[in-house]
Amino acid sequence: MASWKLRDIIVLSSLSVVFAVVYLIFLQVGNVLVGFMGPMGYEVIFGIWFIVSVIAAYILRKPGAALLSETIAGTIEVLIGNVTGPILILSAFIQGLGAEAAFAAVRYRYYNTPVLMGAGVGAAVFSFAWGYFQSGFAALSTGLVLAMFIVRVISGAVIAGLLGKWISDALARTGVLRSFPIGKAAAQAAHQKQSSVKL
Amino acid sequence: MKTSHAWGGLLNEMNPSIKGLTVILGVILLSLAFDPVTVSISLIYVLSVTALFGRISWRRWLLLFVPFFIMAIGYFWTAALFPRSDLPQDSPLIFSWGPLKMTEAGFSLALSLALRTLMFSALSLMFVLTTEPVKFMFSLMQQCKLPPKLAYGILAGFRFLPLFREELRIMQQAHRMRGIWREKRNIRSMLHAFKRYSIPLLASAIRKSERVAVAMVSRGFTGGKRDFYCQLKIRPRDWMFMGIVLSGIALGYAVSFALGTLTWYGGQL
Amino acid sequence: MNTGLLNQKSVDHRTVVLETKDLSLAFAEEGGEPVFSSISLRLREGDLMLLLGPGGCGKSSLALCLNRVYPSAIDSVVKGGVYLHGQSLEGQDPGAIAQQVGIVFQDVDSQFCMLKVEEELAFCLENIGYPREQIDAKIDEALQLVHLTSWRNAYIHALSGGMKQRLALACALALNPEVLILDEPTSNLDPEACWELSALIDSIRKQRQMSILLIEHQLDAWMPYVNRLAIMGSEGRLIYEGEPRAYFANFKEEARRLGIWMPGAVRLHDQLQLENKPSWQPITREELAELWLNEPDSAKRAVLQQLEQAEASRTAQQDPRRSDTDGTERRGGMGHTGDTGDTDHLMHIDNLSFERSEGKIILDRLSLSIPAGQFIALVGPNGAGKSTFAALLSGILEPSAGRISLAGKALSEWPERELRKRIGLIFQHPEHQFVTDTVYDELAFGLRLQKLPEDAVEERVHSLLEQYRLLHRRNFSPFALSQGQKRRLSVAAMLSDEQQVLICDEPTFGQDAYSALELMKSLRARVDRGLTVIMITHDMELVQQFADRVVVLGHGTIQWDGPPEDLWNWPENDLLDHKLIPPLSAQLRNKLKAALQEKQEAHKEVLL
Repeated sequence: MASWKLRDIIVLSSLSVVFAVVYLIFLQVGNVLVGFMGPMGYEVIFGIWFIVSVIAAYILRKPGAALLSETIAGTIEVLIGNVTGPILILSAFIQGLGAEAAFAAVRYRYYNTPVLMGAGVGAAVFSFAWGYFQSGFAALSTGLVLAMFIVRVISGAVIAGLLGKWISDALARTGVLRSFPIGKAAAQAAHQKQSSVKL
Repeated sequence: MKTSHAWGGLLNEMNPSIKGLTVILGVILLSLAFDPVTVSISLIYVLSVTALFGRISWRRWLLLFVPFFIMAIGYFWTAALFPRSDLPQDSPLIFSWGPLKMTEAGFSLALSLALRTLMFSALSLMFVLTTEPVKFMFSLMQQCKLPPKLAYGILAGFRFLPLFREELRIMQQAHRMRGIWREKRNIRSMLHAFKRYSIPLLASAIRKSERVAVAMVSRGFTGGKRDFYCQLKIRPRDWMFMGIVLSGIALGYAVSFALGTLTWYGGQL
Repeated sequence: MNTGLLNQKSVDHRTVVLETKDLSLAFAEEGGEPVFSSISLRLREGDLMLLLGPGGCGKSSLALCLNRVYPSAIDSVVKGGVYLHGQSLEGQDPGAIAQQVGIVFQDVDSQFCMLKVEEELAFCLENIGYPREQIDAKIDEALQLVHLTSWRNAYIHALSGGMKQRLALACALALNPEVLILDEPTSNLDPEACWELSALIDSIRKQRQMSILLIEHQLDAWMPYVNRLAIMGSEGRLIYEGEPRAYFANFKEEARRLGIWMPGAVRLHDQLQLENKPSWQPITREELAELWLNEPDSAKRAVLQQLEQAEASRTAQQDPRRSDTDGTERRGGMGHTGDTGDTDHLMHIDNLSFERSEGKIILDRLSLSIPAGQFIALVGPNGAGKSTFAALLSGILEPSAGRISLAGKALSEWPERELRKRIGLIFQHPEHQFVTDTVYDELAFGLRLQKLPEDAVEERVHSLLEQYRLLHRRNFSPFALSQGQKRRLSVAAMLSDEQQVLICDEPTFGQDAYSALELMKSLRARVDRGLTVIMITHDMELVQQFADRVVVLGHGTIQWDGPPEDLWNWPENDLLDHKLIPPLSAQLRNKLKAALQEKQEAHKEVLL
């Protein structure tokens, strides 16, 4: 915790607050979808619930950002009334762990598209394992469970990975991230490009 | 619509960390069972505990419970109509409609699945509606040794919540003034709409975060150890309460075992 | 450059409390433009030093260097030193520094981290390791100091802007700092709250013998207490430190060029054109009034005449039709003349009510007529429902009861497309209105929606970019612009249709003097073309200078409606009830009038 500045923690926390609200909204969307399509309804949009991990890690580029942001988002969701309750914090922690694993696997050196998508996939795999135990997927037929798993992995890669990157990049263009690692990396890249043009 | 009697409020005054732990333990204990009887007994028990010891707004309770009720129905239908292939095939048929069949075994399984959802939400509502966010964070710092830097950081972000809501409302109006509704509606414009709201909202979140961080540091916050003005202690009655809730779940198991309906969850993996 | 030119005259013997030596700030190690450089300032015991400078010159960043938030909490490169009683702050514990240098910020919504008043103060006291048993009493004391005692258990978000700012002050003061920095503490407050806060801070300053550094551009409420002035130029350098009076007496031109806000007394005194004008420079409202009240009656009369003339010529020039037709077809004046359905009125508001979903009544049976070609100022205390009224007028909120009609047809009956061509609304924060990724697209957006061919769009956008001085920013993200540029962009983008009614919510908020004046002139020009502008504002000087008509909103209804010069004839106490403070020129006029009248009466009595 010592390497984290207060500013980074609050940024992490307010990102989590914004996405906690997004998560709650998508819970309702999911509920509607589930009403129509059964558990598969959730799987299609499941990636949205990992997105804060990807965004926070991509912006702050610190070990723990993915795990912490997802856990905080879960905590805040509980505080503002997600009735899944404290158990949700545990689910969020496990999802965050999955995303964090992807960043740890490249030793927090790369934050490119494959890694970000990998983080989405990691979160999907971890969360599915936990969900299998917690929500009783065992009651469903194996084929359906397998299909759900595949859909969730794709959703994680696309919604969390790609959409997360797209949002962060758009955010960086507004200039508010100038003093964050993502902004500095962008400035550096621009600088290198400029100097290579000169050469 | 508030309950108020002698013990009403005991739940509200309970130490938030112990309360949270109770709920987590309850959920873990109940995930082991997979039959309608155990779960429904526990569900009734938890609801009575909430009603008896909690000072809560039942209107809010209903408001939060209803979506999960709908979700439970969703689960019920899927599980009942698309059951696992390894269920006993000779189970008596309850109802059929075209290719859709619902057997007794399938029905019982679906019911327990739906009840589980309701059970988990009832346990959680017991926590959510009786716990103040700030006290919860204080308790996490004092009992669970959560670093203050993290806890206060989370609280600072949490404070922004009503501001974001207000900002979103203003943005909706502002975009309408710009004539956004004149755009065509398709997938691309929906993605644009998402971006139009999310980027300014996130940008303002980051700017606000920086400002509040600066303000907190300016007020002498270092994130180090501190002596809390608001002290949250664990008292014997907190443990007692945990015992009451968990023994209710044990009761559910016992009754179900006595009736011979108890089904363990792990066996089905 | 005139640094130190004047302050050498008198040698100051008071102790220096806070001093900066050659202080510079940059965000990048190398190559980065410095935010400011080589700033050497001295704050002495008991000083209230005002720091002025054009928008974006780095004043706020300087403030954050003084308590070492830069570089300890935000990555940055700070060179030079900050000394408190001669001791460098470098390397000191941030918690310890906070007990020496306190700070109150501009944004009332992002300087707290807790939910309730009591919790926030406890947070501050815990930070400095205040003994737990004494915190309770200390909170009481701090709240008493800022008159918030009965709000101890209130939620912070439920407080008014002025109360939040007083809480922020209490938090800073709870740490017993020797130096207090105020970074635009009144910019979100209504005029009365503004004067209240400045008086409160001054009394606490005297009580505690604190030294204060003030960054502010609404100066009038502060000028009575300011004894030192520092000016930063646009390139982030200190160009003046010394007596405020001397600066405003000698360097008005420079201030104007830099876009620095000047005290109202300085501006008004400068505008008065009289022979034998006293050369002494008044800098506060009181001083200005006193100066002229002590002059002989002939001078008083001359000033009075000039003030009245200025008013008359302003109204005549601004609304030619009003003076031409001389009352028969008065367009301004008392709004609801209400007689036989005057059809030349553009908008009619009939018994308008608005109730929030939780049942709180915001507007209660309000009626008003809005003609074409009028500049209307909508004023009133914070929370009076001005912004809600604006939203209703523009048709983005539905009234709970009553009717708003435009050209005889209810707003709800207008197709949205047609309505947007006729009514525009500019929001308080420009960011809320941006919908695209670049400045160019932002301006093109409205034109493209009108299905204009792309080359016509290109041409129009180019001319807008030029007119609003944004050409060099055409490919920037709208969010990456400076505050002034953002405002100009939001106005330019909204004006792509020639709306008959344009509603602006605090258009000059956060602007420097130059940009604010520029903007007001462009709004005025619209009105002179026959279009209507409705402006929400707290700035009575703007009302006085630009508006044809003032509508005072309070307690959900219209409290007053008429030309500004008549409003200022109200007794000041009645104005205060609506949190209004008359503009300086009206104040001076009233005072002179009263003085002359008194004399006349005394004279009469003698005769009798």
